[in-house]
Amino acid sequence: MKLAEGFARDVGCRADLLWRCDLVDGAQTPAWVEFVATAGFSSVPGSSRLGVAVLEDPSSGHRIVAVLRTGRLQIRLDAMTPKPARVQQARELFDRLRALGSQSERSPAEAR
Amino acid sequence: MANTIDSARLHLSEHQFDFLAGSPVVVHCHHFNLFWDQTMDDALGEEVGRRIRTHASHKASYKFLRGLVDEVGATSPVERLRLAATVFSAMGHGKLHLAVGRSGGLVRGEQLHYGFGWSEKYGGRLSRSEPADAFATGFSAAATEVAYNLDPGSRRATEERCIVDGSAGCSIRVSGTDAEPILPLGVDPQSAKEVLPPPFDGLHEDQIAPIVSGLREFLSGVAGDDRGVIEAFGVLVTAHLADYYNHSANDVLDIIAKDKPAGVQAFRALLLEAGTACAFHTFGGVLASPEWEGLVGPPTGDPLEVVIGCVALARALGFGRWAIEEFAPDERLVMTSPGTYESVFSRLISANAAEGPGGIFVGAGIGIMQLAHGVGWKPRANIDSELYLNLARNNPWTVTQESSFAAGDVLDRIVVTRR
Repeated sequence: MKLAEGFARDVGCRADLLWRCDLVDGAQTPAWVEFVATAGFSSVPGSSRLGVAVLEDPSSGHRIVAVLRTGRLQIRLDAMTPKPARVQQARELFDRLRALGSQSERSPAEAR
Repeated sequence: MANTIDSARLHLSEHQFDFLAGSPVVVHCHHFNLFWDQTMDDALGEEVGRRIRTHASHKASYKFLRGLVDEVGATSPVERLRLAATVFSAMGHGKLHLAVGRSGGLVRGEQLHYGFGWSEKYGGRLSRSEPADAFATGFSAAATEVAYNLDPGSRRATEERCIVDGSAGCSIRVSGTDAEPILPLGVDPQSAKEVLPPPFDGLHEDQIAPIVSGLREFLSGVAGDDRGVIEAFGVLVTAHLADYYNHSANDVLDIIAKDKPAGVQAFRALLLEAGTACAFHTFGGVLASPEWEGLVGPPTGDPLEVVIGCVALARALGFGRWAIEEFAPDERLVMTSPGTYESVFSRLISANAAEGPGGIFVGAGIGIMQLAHGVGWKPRANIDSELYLNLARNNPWTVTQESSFAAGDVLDRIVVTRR
């Protein structure tokens, strides 16, 4: 459930709030969402009606929108994030998600 | 309180109109909302434009809030002011702290949609001294009047501070006035039902219907968060009073028709441009969003698929039952509707319906053809201002409105062709 290397401003990004990354294997998106939800992100209810899952980092309010059928991920920084801090916070969240993706590939024993 | 507000919703499914407490409601994003206000200001200048927009909000908000307090049975001023602030936030307009008595007072605003949206979109690149929150300003005056059972127009409101000029927050002063009373007219469900013709199908209904259904189910659960902000499809979204847009356009049109009749056509061209911008930014932004990808799949770039998506979006957002009468890729688009949120207002409310603005439906025809043929959707589209301006400079499309419901025809019908 690894994330691809690419990380860039997403379509419609306004003032560095929307960022795009992708799972290498889109078919694994539901499992990835489940895994990330056990790693400190909370699931936003009701979002799956559109075929997406939305996860929220409770400490920052930043969200990750995951397209269940394709593996597209969109990082949506909280709208109140100060502009000068946005790029760095997006990058940090992406790095965290990448680390989680790598962690999910390891066996439970390795992960310990 | 949210459940109480929900009970005041009404959906006219056959015509794809939504009402809240008897007032028509449409969904628009901050890109369009800012563009719309700018359109009014472009026509008459910032000072008059702001006055018109505030007045439009005052009228639309008074009718809306009066209907809301009656519908939910809010009787005391405290209940009514709390209800007004709650619904304002639920609709994605930010937070209002209505510290107002019978004679007025000060209203503090946080994350007000227009000021906040402007700062997000243009802050750091453009400077602005004129306050941006005319809608919140008119709403504050109306909320005070409704809370204390005062005559509409007996209070005025002025935004004294706005974050667009670097202020820390927004504040609005409400006070008494001897100005002329206002007439809080607007469309209501019953009169809309009476005047609208029976709905009719267009092409590709089997593909449009499930998209509309999915989008509507999603939108029914969308409301402002604890800051009064709705973020969906990657934009700031509002559920907005359709009467606000319609009053502002009609009032501007009235002034121009009276003072500078030669400028009417120029204003109509501005409204058409607003419709094109709406289609490009709102429809295009949604088509490129993860939510759309989840519901429908990634856009393939097939022009028909884009047209179908845009028509479905217009219906889901409460614009009316737009339909595809004819589509020839790269050549021609004919769209119809038994009425739109603009043309129903013009027919029912405007003094001179034949001259009604009707810009969104007409201008959107061009925007939809630009999205269908001028945007590279693969590997991914870049729906931004730069592309919008490029497409506008080299626009190969022209639109004609062949039937106007506002002017007394049986439907709205537009034809888009190459120049």
